[in-house]
Amino acid sequence: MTYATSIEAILFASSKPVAIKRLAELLSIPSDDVSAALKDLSDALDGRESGLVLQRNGHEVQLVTHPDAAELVKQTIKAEASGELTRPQLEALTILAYRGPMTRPEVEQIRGIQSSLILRNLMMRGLVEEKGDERLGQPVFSVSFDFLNAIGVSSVEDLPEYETLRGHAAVADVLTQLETQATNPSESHA
Amino acid sequence: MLIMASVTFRVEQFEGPLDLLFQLVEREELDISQVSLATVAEQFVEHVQDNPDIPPEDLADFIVVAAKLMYMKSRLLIPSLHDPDLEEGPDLETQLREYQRFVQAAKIMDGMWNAERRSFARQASTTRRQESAGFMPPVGVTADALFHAMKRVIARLEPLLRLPQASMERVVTIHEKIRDLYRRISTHSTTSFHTFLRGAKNRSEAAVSFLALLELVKRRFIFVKQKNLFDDIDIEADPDATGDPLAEPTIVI
Repeated sequence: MTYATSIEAILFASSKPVAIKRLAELLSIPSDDVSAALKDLSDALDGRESGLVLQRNGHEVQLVTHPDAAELVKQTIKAEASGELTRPQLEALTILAYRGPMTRPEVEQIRGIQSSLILRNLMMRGLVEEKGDERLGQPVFSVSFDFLNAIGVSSVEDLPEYETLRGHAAVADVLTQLETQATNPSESHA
Repeated sequence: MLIMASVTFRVEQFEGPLDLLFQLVEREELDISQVSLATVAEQFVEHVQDNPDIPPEDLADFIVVAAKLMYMKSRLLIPSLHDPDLEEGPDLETQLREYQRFVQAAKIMDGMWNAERRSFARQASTTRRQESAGFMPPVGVTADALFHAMKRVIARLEPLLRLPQASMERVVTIHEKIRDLYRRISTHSTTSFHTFLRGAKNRSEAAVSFLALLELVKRRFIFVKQKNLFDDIDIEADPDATGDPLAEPTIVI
């Protein structure tokens, strides 16, 4: 059995996302080999037109149903509709999807307006999650697997123009300026 | 004197200051640039003043953008004007361009969201969930660990409270200075810039006072006279001026 098929079995058996690190432990191989095996698995699923897709969000992966099977699966498990998103929610989600994980002030810097309520609502709907790590003393947020499921992509990298919007120099600029602003007051207190 | 009143566009709904600014620039059929932003500066201020629906917690963000627009416009009139305090933070033009990109991306995202072409994960089994909801701290939690966790929470709150305050101070001052200067002029009919500046506590406030002066000149609420270079500036009320300079920005381009 290859690592790819072993991973497929593990992911099928678990009902929640599995960390790449955890897969490395289970298989006793380095994380890099896990990443390579995940690529093989993803290609294999595509190749045999599987009803499943390998989904990746940050350092975690899971097996989900193919978006083309949405209607059938919805009937089978009697899923409720995803519900409407307000424009600010959509905006915050888009920014987090392309630029995440990021802190709340970073989201606000791009939106130009305070976004604490919106982030909280999105967290309550399970579309955004707070990560354990921090930047500049702030928790970082990213989109959740539920969000990836809702829009039917296997990772944020599959979003249209992902590289352009993520790597755009101007965003980096804005964020650097923000970091400078945030760092300076704490220096005077050090 | 040729005064051309521009067409004032009303924007019915906007989600934040950048959204409002973007809509104003778009309605004027302008590209995003320093000049186009300066062109819609008054309209922006007018929208913020006339809109009772802007929640108080969002108002500060609108005023920050209004202040940046006023400063940007002043700089186009007087290129030598430069205040590092007022230039801190990201450049508005860059910020708006970036915002525009994400607005476009959000539209595509909206389509993906509504397409309902979605994936499903396996549903978590509910039977294994713990029945009792008592307080069960994880292994290794001590009073000391909780104390340090609480300290981290408090430390995290601090920069949040400090950051917006700096912008608020700056912005409130521009508004206050306009009111302050106009009140002086209305009661005494003349004053001088040095007298007006005497109240300024720091460099930044002095710069803001000057911006307030420029704003009132531009809106024709006051006249200024300077006999020689570096002399004090005499400030007089414009006898034709009517209304409240804070409530009624006139559109003059």
